[in-house]
Order: sequence, then C-alpha cells, then structure tokens
Amino acid sequence: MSDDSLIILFFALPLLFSVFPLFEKINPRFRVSKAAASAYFAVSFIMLILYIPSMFSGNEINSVAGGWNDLVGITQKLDGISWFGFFLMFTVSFFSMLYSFSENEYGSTFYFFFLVLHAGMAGMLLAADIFNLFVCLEITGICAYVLIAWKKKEKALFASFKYLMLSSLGISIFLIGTFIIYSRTGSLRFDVFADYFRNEENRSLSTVFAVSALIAGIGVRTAFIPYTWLPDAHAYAPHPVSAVLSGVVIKVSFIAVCRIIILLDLVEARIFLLWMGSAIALIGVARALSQTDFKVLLAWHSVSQMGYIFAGFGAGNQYGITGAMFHSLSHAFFKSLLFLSVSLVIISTGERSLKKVTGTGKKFPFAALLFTVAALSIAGIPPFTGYVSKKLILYSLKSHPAAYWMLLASSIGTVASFTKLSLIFRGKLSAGIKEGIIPVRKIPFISGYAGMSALAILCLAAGLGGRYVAEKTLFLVTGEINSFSSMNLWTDTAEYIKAAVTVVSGIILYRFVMSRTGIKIQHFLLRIRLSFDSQLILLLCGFMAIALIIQFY
Amino acid sequence: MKKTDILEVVSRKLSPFIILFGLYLITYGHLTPGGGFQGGVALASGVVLLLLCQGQSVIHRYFPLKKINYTEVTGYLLFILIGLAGLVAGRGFLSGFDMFMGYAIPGSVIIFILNLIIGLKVGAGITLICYYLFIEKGDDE
Amino acid sequence: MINMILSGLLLVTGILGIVLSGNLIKKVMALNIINSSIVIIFIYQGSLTGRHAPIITGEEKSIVDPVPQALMLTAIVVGICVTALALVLVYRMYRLYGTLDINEIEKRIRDE
Repeated sequence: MSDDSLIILFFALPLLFSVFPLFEKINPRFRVSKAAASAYFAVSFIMLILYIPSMFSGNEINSVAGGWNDLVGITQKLDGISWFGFFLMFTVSFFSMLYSFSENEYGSTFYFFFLVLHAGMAGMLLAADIFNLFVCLEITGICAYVLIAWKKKEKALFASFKYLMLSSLGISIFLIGTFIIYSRTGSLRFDVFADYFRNEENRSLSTVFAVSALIAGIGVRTAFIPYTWLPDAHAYAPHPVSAVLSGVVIKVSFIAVCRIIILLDLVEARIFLLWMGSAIALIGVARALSQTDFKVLLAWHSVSQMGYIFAGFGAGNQYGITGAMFHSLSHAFFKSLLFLSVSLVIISTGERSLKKVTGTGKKFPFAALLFTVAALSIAGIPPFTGYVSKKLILYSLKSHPAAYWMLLASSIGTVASFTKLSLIFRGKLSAGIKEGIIPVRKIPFISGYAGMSALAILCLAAGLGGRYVAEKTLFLVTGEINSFSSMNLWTDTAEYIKAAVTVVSGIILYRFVMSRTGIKIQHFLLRIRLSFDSQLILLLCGFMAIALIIQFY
Repeated sequence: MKKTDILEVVSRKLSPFIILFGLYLITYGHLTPGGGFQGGVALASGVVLLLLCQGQSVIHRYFPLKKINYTEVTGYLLFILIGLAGLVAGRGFLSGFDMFMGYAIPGSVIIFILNLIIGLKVGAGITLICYYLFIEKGDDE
Repeated sequence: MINMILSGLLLVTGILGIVLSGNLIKKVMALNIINSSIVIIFIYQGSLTGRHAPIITGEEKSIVDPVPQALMLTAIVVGICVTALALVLVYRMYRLYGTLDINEIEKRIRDE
C-alpha cells in the first residue's frame, strides 16, 4: 500500500519544485528557479527508471489519495500508457527547457508556470476518475494560456484568448457529461462507469451524450476538429513553449481521450476519429503549404500529423494503435526539434517570414543539419523515426483504402511544404541579410544545441530501433504482445521506391505550388478563414456529431 | 466623486470583525460548514475593504506586501510538505499521521492545520489579486 | 423539474451569449454564466438526497450528498482563475487594439 501511494510523487514533485521560482520572484537574490526546474527533471527521470521493471512486466498501480475508500477518494492509476506518456513528456520537455536556458529571456515566473504545467499533465496521465481529470485539464490549460501570452505580443494575446474560450467551453461540456455520469452511477471513477456503460441496457441517449461530452471536451485540446486556435497558439507562443505545446500537451490530451475510448470500447467513436483524422491530415497540409511564416507553417503541420495519429488510432487494430502511439512519440521528437531549430533563426535575425529570410545555411550550419534530420523524419524517409510510425499507420489502414490514399496524399504535401520551409537554410541568401538590413546576431547557444542534438539522436534511434520501440509501445498501451515480424522494415525495396516516389512527387507539387497558378490557389486558400464565433459553433457541432455517430452508427 | 465619512468610519470599525469572522471560519472548519477556502476569502475581503476605503498607506502599514507574498508562498510550500509528510509516514499523500513523536494524533488535527494553512494562503492570494487589480502599478505580471 | 429547466435555460443563455456576442467582456461573462448554471445543476442534484449538512455525528440524519459540493467548490475556484486570466488578456488586448469588438480585432490581425 505505502509503495503504491508513491505514484502521486509524479504530481506532487513539480508542485514542490515550483515553490522555488516563487521565492525567487519575491526576492531576486535567490537564483534558484533554473536549478529547481533541472532538479525536477532529474528526480522525475529517476522515478521513471525505477518504474521500468513493474511497467514492462504489465503491472498497473492504483492508489487512493488520503486513505479514503476508492469510490469517493481521488484515485490515481499508473499503467503502461501513462508510463509511455511520462517518458514522452519528460524527454521532450527537458530538452526544450535546455533551449529556454540558453535563450535566457524568461524570468522566475516562467519556470513556475512551466513546472505547474507539468504537474497538470502528470495529473492527467495519472487520473483514474473524471473529476480529477477535469481539475488537471484546467491546471494544464491555465498554465498553457499564461505561457502562450508570455511575451504579450498582439497575436499571442489573441491566440491565447481564443484557446482559453474554446477550451473553457469544451470543459463546460465536459462538466455536463460528468454530471450525467455522476447522477447515473453515483461514482466518478472511469472503471465503474465503463462497467455501467458496457451493459447494453444502459446505453440510453443521455449516457451516450455524456460520453461524447467527455470526448469532445478533451478533444478541444487535441484539435481533432480543425479549430484554428492550435496553429495560432503554437505559432505565436515563445519558442520553447511552442515545442512543448506541440510535442507534449496535445499528446497528453490525446492519451486521455485514448484511455476513455479504449476503456469504454467505443467502436463508433473510432470511426469518427478515422475519417476526421484523414480529413484534417489533408486540411492541415493544404493550409501549411500556403504559409510563409516559419512557425505558422510548422503549427499547421502539427494539425496534419495529429490527423495521422487519429486515423491510426481510429483504425483500431494492433498496427493502428501502435502506429498512433509511436507516431505521437516520433512527432513529439521531430516537431519540437523543428520548432527549436527554426526558432534559432528567428532569434538571431528577428524575422520570421520566408519572404525575408532565406539561405542562411552557411551562417547556421549546425541548426541546418538538425533541421534536416527533423524534416527527413517528418517526411517519413528511412531510417528516421517518422518512417516507421507512418508505415505502421498506413499498414493498419489496408481495409480503408480511401483513408489510406488521403494519408498518402498528405505525406506528399508534407514533403512539398518542407521543401518550401527548407528555403530558410538552402538556396540564395536573401537580399535583406546580404545588404545588412536584417542583422544576424551570433548568440551563445550551448545548452540549446545540446538539447536539440539529443532530440535529433532520439529521432534517429527511434527509427533504427523501430521494431523494438513498436513492440514495447504495443505492450505498454494494450498489454498485447506482437513482435511485428510480419512487417518488413528495412529490406523491402518496394518501400524505398515508395519513399522515393513520395519525395519526387512532393518536389513536383512544390514546383507547382510556387508557380503562378499555384500562388493564385494559395491566395485563394488564405482567404478562407474561420472566424472565432464560427469556431465556437463548430465545437458544438462536433460535439453533436460525435453524439449522433455513437448513438446511431 | 467625493468620499464620505461614512465609508471611512464604517470600514474602520467593520473590517476587524470581518477578519475575525474569517478566522472563525478557518478555525472551526473541521466542525462546521466553512473551512480554509471560505475563511480565507472572508479574511481577504476584510483587508480589501480597508484597502478600498482607507487607501494604500494603511495597507502598507499593517499588511506589508512583501509579507503577504511570503505568507502565500510559504503556505503553498507548507501544504505540499505536509502532504509529502503523510507519504513519508507511510500512509499516502495528505493522509496525515496517527502518531507523532510518540503521541497519538486525532484526524481532525491535521485537517485543522491544513485549514489554517489554506486559509492564510487563500487570504493572502486573493488580497494580492485585488491589490494588483485595483492599484495600477504598470506592467507587471 | 422546474429547477432543472430553469438552470438549463441559464446554460442555453450562456452558450448563446458566448457565440453571438461580439464584445470580449460579454463573452467572458457568458462563460461565467455557463459555469454558474452547471454549478447550480450539480448542487441541486446533490441536495435531493437530504436536508442536513454532511457532518456525520453518529445520529441518523438524511444528509445532502457531499461529493457534488466538494466538486463544485473546486469548479468555482477553477472558474475564478479562468475568468481572472481571461479578463487580464482582454484588458491587454484592449490596450493594444483600443477596441473590445472581436470582429474588429480579427480584421486587424488578418490585414497585417
């Protein structure tokens, strides 16, 4: 019993360490906030390692806070999927935090919110009852809003406000769902409700309504309806925060949705995710192609890659679930690396548009190398990590050819848009830099480079050890064992030809996009924008759609 | 608008009682409806009443900002430490301990202490929020 | 039943307000109304089980269900935080743009 209750340390430690930045804020002479943040990650890594044996033998650890009985108490559960989430969260956040150290623009309060953000996410991963999940969602949310608006730039403020309103509306819907569940079962635990819901007699309209309220409420955070808060918020946040938001925060929310869907055995919601995912994979890429702002382009790619993840998860077979989880991991690695390496150029030139900055590869050779690694990963080129996870997802969609082709089309778009984005480093030096209108500052960036290199190594390692990672991921998430030996990862020439064809057609698409007709289409696409009010309506419609699909499919 | 004497006098007489009531809510939180959070808000409303009606100087004299800040942060730290102490004692987060240095401790003691800490922390926190809302000091957080 | 309908109406009012109103502060207030309506629904549901405060003294009494109250206390606190933060953001946007109209702000961002 006493050992089991130790899992709450995952939640309590970031809160404990977040006290030190507050002391530094009152009295600036204590310079402890960076040390406290680093100490937190060190301790968490140790805890993560200590739990390896029990997690990889398939145990799950339950604990009730405060010694209450488990019907009313606040319950925590550490199982394979939450261990997986912790692994993703700690690695990506730690390396992004190293980047923030060398950027050196953030005061003590930044680290306070950064640590509390991690407490919230840890709580979400551990939550075994609905209300606990609600509180942790809100902690995560509030810290994320503050961090997005950190630099008080105009667009960041509005992006943060949009995020706040949309996810608060989502959370209100979530609370209504909680209310229905509580009044039906008298308990807030997920497993009690799962037993209740699996019984066919209890599948009335109101319980279906409640379930879809839960999914839609958390789903706002993962943006599985193409809201435009995500690109704005991820693009205008401070650079390390963009990496953490894109890499970690949406993944943790996605894991929470996964938990609910797996526990309640919702086949219908999976169908919704499958088609929605394939659609937003295409929409995201189409929007990304027409952007010129570095970070906005990357943020639209987050939407598109999340589409892959949903489609894989929606397919529902072993390959799909493994692919979705593995792709969450690889997306966390390469997207944070992309954000960080591109931000380096933004920091040193002060410009963030492809119209003004191109061809800086000679000035930032190491950043260009890291960017290439990440871009090859996201494009799914072997041997990097995106190749394996995308292959798993595509493999799982054999029985849904339409979704398969939509995802294939969006990977061609991915290649095209990264050919475009790589103009930052390749090609001719832009006129502004050459004539000295845009100054290029050299900044010492040692710990930032260390963090980015570690992420690049992880991209390569997760690709090379793809089969091993896939096997372990499947075991952690579902407890099933499959060594994926039927999949031919490295010796299949057809795969290499397919990758080559994708690259070539991506480059052709890029040529087309940059041609005169292509630019006209881009302008046309840029004019279609969802206003904020219509996004709120879209959220309500999405919620209704999920409810209808679950009820009548 | 001119401030009348009524505000001046009433707030001076009333706010000690509000603060006293806040303390009552906190200290009887484990027996009657009420508790740390509600009591803390009552405490803060007493201080904020003084702030609004008497001006900043009184607040600076009786409740220096730096001390309020320290109260808040220390309350936060103590709360987590007590929670962790329960873990060290082998009973789980925030579940307290039944024995301390050889003496048996009833469960309500730990609730009382936690209420006290939460009350002070919430009181300090809400006072600070109101202070920064009402007194514009420029562009701090 | 009438209580449920009334608080449901409050909820609908809030949702309409958040979607239809163009003023940022009114949007934040509408969010608050939604939050309050949910709190009222929860507390009402919890109060159906009894009439006495949930303090167990040993005598048999019909007590109100304490769980919804605890939950809603948390929800209220969270709501306060979100509202305060939203108002801070609105205030800063007002200082930058000089307007509270959301369409105006969106138009300006688009034109940049």
